[in-house]
Amino acid sequence: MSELRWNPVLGEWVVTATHRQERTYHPPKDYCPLCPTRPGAFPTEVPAEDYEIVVFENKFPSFRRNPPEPAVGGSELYPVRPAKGICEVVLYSPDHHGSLATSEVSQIACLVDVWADRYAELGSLDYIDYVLIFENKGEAVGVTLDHPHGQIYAFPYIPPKPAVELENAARHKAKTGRCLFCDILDAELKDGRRVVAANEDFVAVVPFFARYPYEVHILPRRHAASLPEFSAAERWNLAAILKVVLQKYDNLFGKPLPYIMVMHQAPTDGKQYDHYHFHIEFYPPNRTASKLKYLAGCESGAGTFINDTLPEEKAAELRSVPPVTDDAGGFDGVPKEGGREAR
Amino acid sequence: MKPAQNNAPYIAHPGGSDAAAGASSMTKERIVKDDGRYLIFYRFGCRFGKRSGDRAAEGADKAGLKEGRA
Repeated sequence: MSELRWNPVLGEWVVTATHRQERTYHPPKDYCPLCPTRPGAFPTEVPAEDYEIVVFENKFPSFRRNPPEPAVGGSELYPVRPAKGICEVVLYSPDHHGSLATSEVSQIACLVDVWADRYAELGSLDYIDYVLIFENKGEAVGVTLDHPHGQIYAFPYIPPKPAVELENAARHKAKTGRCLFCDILDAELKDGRRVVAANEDFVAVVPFFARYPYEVHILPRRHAASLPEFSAAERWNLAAILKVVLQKYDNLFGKPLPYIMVMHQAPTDGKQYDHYHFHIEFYPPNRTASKLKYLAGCESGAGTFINDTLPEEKAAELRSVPPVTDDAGGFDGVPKEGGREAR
Repeated sequence: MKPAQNNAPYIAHPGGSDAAAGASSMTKERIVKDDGRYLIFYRFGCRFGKRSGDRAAEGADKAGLKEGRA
């Protein structure tokens, strides 16, 4: 059973998807459903002995192209609608033991191309208003399959968090005439204390308003609302800064750091969102090597996050963690001579 | 406006001096599984980690980024 149930108190949809209770949960390593299908072995999700990057429809989706009718009747107070949408799984690599952090930049750049293609293809469907690309990494954030992979949820509506961002970005634009995220990027670069890494096209920061101790946002220097707007060279630099941030995460405590990675892009509902600005947000749950931050009373009950740390100190900590890169990358935005195709 | 759908092959990412190694073209093959779900193979004309551009990629890792503050 799956359906959308309207919460009139918060003004948002809740997805019920009871079939997800049956989803594969930490299978033995030899029975990973996301590995290639080896000769003579059990058939996995991928009917091939090898692959580069694979995308497929989730076997246990929250949204479906052809959803069943809701199991309950709706009312004026409690509207209900079918959970129509698409849920995809993105396999980063055939290597079961790999991760985004250990991938070559060239491989991550290919993945960026795939993400851009999925955004365009799914977003072009008339019933898809928002494409959310994300990765849950590590058991601490509920991952049930270890194989390196991410997910895509194609929503039939704009979900609440991006909706709030869009409202605030529109309000800022109306008030100042400027992009909210461009102003945030300018402020972070001028201050500098919360910058973690940067290259010609992207900047990684622990934001001024970080909710999690090691929260990092990656923003493009150029104003762009979605992945397909980026040039090939920009996509490469996005891959490069993703790798650096993820390597820093894994070197922080000497073990792979769990995280949630989410891409925020313009909605695909056919309206104009020139005021919006693409960015990636990371929410690692760790506040120390062995302690996690929980979404407890204040966070879950009031929606207000308590951050036990200072973003300026956590950014300095992340800056000092390898890979500590040299000064040749044009941190001030000046392109490095040679090496990259002119844009 | 709705995003324009891309039809493969498309895109070449020159990444660092990767252009010297030959830009990769992305193609996709879509199949339908027995249970009706689709699956797409994305191919880039190279095996990850094996093409000559990877040394350039590693260089970009080191040279293309600078940590720290403004």
